[in-house]
Amino acid sequence: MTMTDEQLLALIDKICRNQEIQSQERRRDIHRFLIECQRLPGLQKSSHPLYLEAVDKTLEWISNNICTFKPQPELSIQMSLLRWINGYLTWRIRDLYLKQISQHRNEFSLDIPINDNSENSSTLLEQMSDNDFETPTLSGIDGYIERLRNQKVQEAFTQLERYVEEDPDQLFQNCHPRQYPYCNCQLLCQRLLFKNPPEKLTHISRQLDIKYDTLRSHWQRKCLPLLQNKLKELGYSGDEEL
Amino acid sequence: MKTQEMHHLEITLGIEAHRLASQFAAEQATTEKGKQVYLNTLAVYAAHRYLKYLGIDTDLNQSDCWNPILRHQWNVADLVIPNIGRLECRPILPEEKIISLPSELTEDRMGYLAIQFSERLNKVQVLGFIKKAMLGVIEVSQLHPIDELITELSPQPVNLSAWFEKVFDEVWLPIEALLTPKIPVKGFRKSGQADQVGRGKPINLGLLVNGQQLALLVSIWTEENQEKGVLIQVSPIGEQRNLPPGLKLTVTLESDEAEVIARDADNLIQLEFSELPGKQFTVKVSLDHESITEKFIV
Repeated sequence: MTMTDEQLLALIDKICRNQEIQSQERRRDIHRFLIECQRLPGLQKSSHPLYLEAVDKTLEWISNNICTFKPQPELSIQMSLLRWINGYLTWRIRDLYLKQISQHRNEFSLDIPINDNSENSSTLLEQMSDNDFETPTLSGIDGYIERLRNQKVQEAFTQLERYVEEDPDQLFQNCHPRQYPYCNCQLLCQRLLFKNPPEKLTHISRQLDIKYDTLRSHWQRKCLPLLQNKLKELGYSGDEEL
Repeated sequence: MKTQEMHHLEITLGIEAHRLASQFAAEQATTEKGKQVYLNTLAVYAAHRYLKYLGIDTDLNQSDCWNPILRHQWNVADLVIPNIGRLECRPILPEEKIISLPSELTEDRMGYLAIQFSERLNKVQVLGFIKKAMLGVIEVSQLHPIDELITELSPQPVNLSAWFEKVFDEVWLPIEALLTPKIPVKGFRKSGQADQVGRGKPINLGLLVNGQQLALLVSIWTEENQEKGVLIQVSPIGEQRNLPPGLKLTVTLESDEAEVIARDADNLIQLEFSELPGKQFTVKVSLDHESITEKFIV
């Protein structure tokens, strides 16, 4: 059962009267309200990736702008709300559509017609090819991931593990909290990362008789940056093309 | 939790979510590990978007699963919520009734958020939350409603009755520790109240106060009629002697409201009232458009 007009109005009123934006009551009410919005009969639906992106942006917009919603006198609350949301959603789809078209033009000099006068976002979605991106399914994900595999990055990870193991420049062995030379980054990497299954920080802290906070802070502030720098040197940039 | 009977919020997974998931999965050595990373990334991204709808900030870059090395080695799906903790966002696949948590999930999780997946990866549902996982396993049937997560992530009223038992949250400092020697602590005590206990904390009203530091001071004692007496004060701390003129202190009780405004050269503003144990009140300190609000329970 969706909410009645009175219930919807009461909920909106409750949200907007609550000045404590961070309070649990207001957040719970927004959660309930968003569920109601998603259940409105007549909400635009599509499985196009642009639509999915636009819905996400629309939910955020609803939360931030709910108090600017004004019911239209000739319509029910539900219908007013539906038009309000669909109106925004259409604009977002259009924005994303135009952005994608201009990217295509820049990258491929393709002559794609721009129909930015269209009031109907489903027409826009139909015009868009979704060859660029197809949402995978759970049953098809293995094949999808096979095709994604990035050999170069995988090689960098293999080399990283070998490097830490051998530590030719003693970078990892020499990095340890003062007074705890045995608690160095090489040992921590081996036990926390490369061991299968990995050990826990609490376990190592007990075993090596070093305070948990000291160990944790050393691991996070010294060892992880050391590892990340080395991985970069080995060719990982983090924005590899797929 | 009777999750089947409830409606769950759906989070759509658009191009950005899948772009990140694809990038992270491509770095993995096996298809199986790639799939795990792909789904973990979608779950965390969905939780990040969901919390954004509720106005709760997250920090993906501080999350272990956003670190290339940690996600490569560990099965992690954590989301850092600044100043609150690390929320583990576990994907639940269709028909799954149990989530087994990997041993590398360290002890520092503030709770577990279950994200329900279906065959099509174009959207997920925010299914439920649980604070503690017993023996590394979460049963879907034991999940609690999302309201519980919202409670965990939202500011809770300060419990003043605990102050009589000397139980204080660490942000509430002894008044003596906040005030400079120039300001006698004596003015911050009610005389003749044997069980009076007081604490304070620095408050930040932003640049409008020209870097001036203020403290909110709260004292509580037992009255004769079962009620508790409460004294709320705002005082300058640090170098300044006076409060900024126009600074307003408002106390809202369940049935009443009072306010006091600092005039030129005021060095303290305060409000005093009595309230029954268990009752809530709200304190607001404001100057122009800046304000801080704190809730208390007597």
